[in-house]
Formats: sequence, C-alpha cells, structure tokens
Amino acid sequence: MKFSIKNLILTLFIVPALSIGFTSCKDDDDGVEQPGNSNSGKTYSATINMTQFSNSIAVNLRTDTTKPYVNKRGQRFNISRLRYLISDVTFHRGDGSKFEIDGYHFVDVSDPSTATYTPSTKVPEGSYSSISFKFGFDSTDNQPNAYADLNTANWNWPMMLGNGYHNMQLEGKYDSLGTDRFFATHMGTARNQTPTTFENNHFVAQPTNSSITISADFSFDIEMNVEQWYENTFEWDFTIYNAPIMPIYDAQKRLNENGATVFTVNIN
Amino acid sequence: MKFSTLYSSLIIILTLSCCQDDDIPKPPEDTGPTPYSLELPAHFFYISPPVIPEDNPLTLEGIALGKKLFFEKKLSRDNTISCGSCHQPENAFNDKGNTFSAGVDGTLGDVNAMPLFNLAWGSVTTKRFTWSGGARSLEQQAFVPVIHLKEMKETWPNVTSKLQNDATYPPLFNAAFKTTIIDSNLVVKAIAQFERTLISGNSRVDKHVQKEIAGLDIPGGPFLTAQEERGFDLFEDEGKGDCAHCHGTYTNPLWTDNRLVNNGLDANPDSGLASVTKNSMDLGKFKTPSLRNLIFTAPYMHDGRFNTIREVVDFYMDDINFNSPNIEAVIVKPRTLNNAEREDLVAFLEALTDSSFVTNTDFHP
Repeated sequence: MKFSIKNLILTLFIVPALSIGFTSCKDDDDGVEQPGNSNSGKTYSATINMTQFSNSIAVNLRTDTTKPYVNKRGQRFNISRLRYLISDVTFHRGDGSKFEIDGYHFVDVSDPSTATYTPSTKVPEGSYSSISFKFGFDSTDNQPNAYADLNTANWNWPMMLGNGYHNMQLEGKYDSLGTDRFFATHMGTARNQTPTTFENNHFVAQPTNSSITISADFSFDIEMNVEQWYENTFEWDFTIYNAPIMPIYDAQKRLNENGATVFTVNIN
Repeated sequence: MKFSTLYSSLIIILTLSCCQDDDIPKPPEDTGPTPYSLELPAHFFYISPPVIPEDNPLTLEGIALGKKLFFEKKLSRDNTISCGSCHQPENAFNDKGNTFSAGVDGTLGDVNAMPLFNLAWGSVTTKRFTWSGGARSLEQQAFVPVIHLKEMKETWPNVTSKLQNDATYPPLFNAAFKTTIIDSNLVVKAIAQFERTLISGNSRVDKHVQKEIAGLDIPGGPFLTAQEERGFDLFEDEGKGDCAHCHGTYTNPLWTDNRLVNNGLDANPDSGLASVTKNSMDLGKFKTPSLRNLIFTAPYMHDGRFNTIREVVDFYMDDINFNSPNIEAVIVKPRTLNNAEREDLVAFLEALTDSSFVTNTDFHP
C-alpha cells in the first residue's frame, strides 16, 4: 500500500479544515435561554403562521381601483404590496424567565412560501404566560448589509436615513375626493434632523392572550391588523402621509406608536 | 449537496485513495461531464447564491456546447439567425440600436431584445424571465425564440434533425449529456448553462463597493467621482430619485428586483404580464431590468421608446402616467430633480458599465 504525500496533506489539512467549517456552521435561529427557567429538557417545534387582515377582511393584494378597507378618517384604501420583518420571537414564563429564538423571518405577502415561519430552534417544554417578538430588527441586529436574502429582496434602508433594513413596506391606493392617490407606508430607522440623529424604530410586540403550554409540537398565528397602523392612537391621514415618508421623522415615530395594537396572537 | 454528504464522500475518497495499490488494474475512468462552479465577483456574497436547477447542473462540456448552440444559426428556419444575432456579446447581449429585432423574414419582433447577464439569479426571487415574465426558467425561455414566428420561425424537430445530421454535434452532446441522441430538452439545457455563466460584476461601482463597502483589498481608487457619488445619493433618496426600491442599492449587485411592475409608461399600456396570466391586474406589468451596462443597451424600456439614459431619467421625473392601470404605488410620488441632479444621476448609472464583460472572450463565438 502506498501513501502519497498529496493524500497526507489532504488528510491532515483539508479534512480538519472542513470539519472546523462544519462545526462553525450554525442555524440562523439560536435559542437563547434566560436565567430562571426550569424545564424538562424536552423541546418542541414551532410553526408560526403569518396572517394579515384589515378591518377584519383578509388582505388580498390588488392593483385595481377596488378599495376594501377604510381608516378612521374614512379614507378608503387597498393594498398592493405588503412586506415586513419580525425577529427574536420570545416565550415568557411567569417567573420572569424567557426563551428567545434568535433569528428573523421576512414576510412578503405576494410569496406564499413566506406565510409560515418554522424556526429551526425548538422551544423547551413548559407553560409560558405570553409570546413576544420584535417588529423589525433591534439595534444590535440591524447591521447594514448583513443579510444576503434581505439584500437580494432590496430590503435595505437608505444610508442617508441611518442604514440597516426596512421594518415594513405597505403600499396601495387610497381615495381622495373620488380620485385615486397612492401611498407607500415604509417604516425603518427614524432620522431626526435637528440635530441629525438616527433612532432605531423597531418595537416589541407582546400581544395579550398569548399564553401557551407547550408539551408537543405546536403552532400559532401572528396576525397583523393593518388598519391599526392608521388609527390607534394617531389617526393617520393619507393626504398628509402618503409618499415619501421614509425621511419624515414624525411619520416614522407615529408608525412605531401605532404598532402597539397592530398584532394579535392566536394559539392553535 | 449537503455538507454532511460532501464530508462523508470526501472521507471515503481519501480513505480509498490512501489504500489504493498501483498494481491493481484501474477501472476505466468516468468520462462524464466535468462539474463547473460559477466564479462570482468578490462582493456578490452580499446576495443570495444563484439557483442552478438540480436537473441541469453546470458542466464544462455543457457550457461549451451551450455557447456553440447560442451562436448556431441552424436554430432558425433559413439558417441565418442565432440567439447571438439579437443578443450580441459586445453589446451586453443586447441588440444595440434596434428598437425591435428582425426575424428570419425581416419581420420585426414586438419587444426590445433584453440584455443577458446575471441570469442565474433570475430564479432566486420571482422566477420569471423575459419582459412579460412568460418563462419560468432559462430552459423554458430558450424553447420560445426557435418557434416564434417573428424570430427564428423554425420547428424543434427540424432543429434537432439539423443538429443530429451535423457531425460536430453528436460528440458534443455525448460529452455534455452522455447521449448522442439530440432532443430539444438537451439543446435548451445547454443554452441555459451557457447563459448562467454570463456574470457581470466589474464596473467602477463594483470596485467601489468592494473597497469602500466590503473593505476588500482592491488596488486603486477612488473609483467614483464626486458627481457619481452625488448621483448615487439621489438614486437612493426616496424624496429625490427613489430608484433603489426597485433597482436596489450597493449591496444588491443585480441592480434589479426581477419583479414585474407597471412603471406608468402609458394610460393604455401594453399587456405585459397579463398576456401570460390573463389577469387584468397584471396589465402593463413588465420585468424590472438591471441598470448595469446601460451604455451598451439603448434603446430602453420593453418597447425601446427611449434612446438615452437621460430620456429615461426625464420620464421618471416629468412624464409618469399616474392614471396607468395597476401602476406600482412606490413609483407614484413627486420627483423633483433639477437639471444638474439629473446629470449626476446619469453619471452614476453610467458608472455601472462593465467593459470587461463585453470584451470577455469566453462569451464571444
């Protein structure tokens, strides 16, 4: 039997190098266990269904003149595009501890494959008093250009406005005195120009009635109620905030405030 | 291939090679096609990897055959036109200067010939090719021009017969696909393989991104002028040019989202995607083209109505038809670039010129 130098080099260097590469690979979604938990060691898979409604009507993307929805000012509108990002879904226990799925999910309502989020991280068995998630990235995760899939989707937030990524793109038509007008409710980092500062504009959504006991693989819905972006508590006026609104600090902050009531969670 | 599979295979190969005895007769070497991996520009790590169909992996032999077929005039009825007749490599695979391209009878087509590059990413997002999005893959697209009455006006049985009777082709198909029996599926597979190798990513903007954004060690620079940098700011600014929502930014080197949208050209637009889907809400929607290599690809838009980049910029500033049905909402907003700003924007767009792409002999017949 012969053992060539070439094979020796391959065995000694390339295979270990590949091994290091494999062990360095990790899932997009890492579980982050906070102190204070006590679980059995069993974990279960989550299936999260991302759904969207407005005025209790399921969002159906359309580019014609039909306007099925209405805001609190009585302005009728439709939705031609809706994309948004959630991150760090977290399960909270009654004792204050929590389990966080460190990762993100990008929803493009025109792409049915994004309607279901199945984190690779499993959640520990147990009872949780609530579920929360971040709308957009927090300042730690909102790293410019860091996510290839989001770069490919043109999800970047402009450098001049603070860089990073959008939280949401919600677009459509609204009726203005019988005439079709257009809006592009894009949300991301808020630029304050006096003086120039950039404020990360994500928020933590922690819907009520989201308690869950996990003892098997489980699923729940995260439901976006679109009309809430435009009415609670700030009554949005499409004739003032249509497009562009990305550079408008007040518009960005009001979206953040109104976001508090946008989401509900339905445990299946 | 999964890493684990690759790893296991590698260990087996190494183990076998360590134990091999030169005295034992070796089995005949596998003469199958040679796998090929795309060579990507350094900053293309910013986007998702290209999609290569599992049933049509890239091989050196397949790509070489595809290139030969791309420039093969036997694909047309009277043997006068190849794919390369209207998609010329020296013009970024566009039919430069021609609003519509002439078919075998001199009959003009209905849309401007699209430039061809970075098509391997076309299946990453929308999976729709051509101006109207009728083809869902490069393979599927390649079937069309051969039988199109305004293009090659041939039949596939005739094409495969002509290739089968050309002594040069059966061995090439054998090398690429392990068969000497030529059929249309193999022809389009080979052409698609060649098209996936057409990667453009070496403009001055690319070098700027590599050095200034990605921090790579690139000699030279600065690569953009002050005017071009101003142009990029206008390109990205929602309150100014707002080109980025559809065409991307520095870290999307495709410079397109590959979607089909109505950009407001006309009150009564051409059918576009609606000709495929038969859905009235797709009327007027056409593929968002990449903004690379524009200096080679005039005239612009699906119907070639604009002759200069400046005309395109002026259209978005002054002439969008807001009443066009199904117009993309994000396009409808006031854009108020003055003359100097428009020139800045044009300068930036011209900096997306990749001259090395059009002179790359790998892509020429």
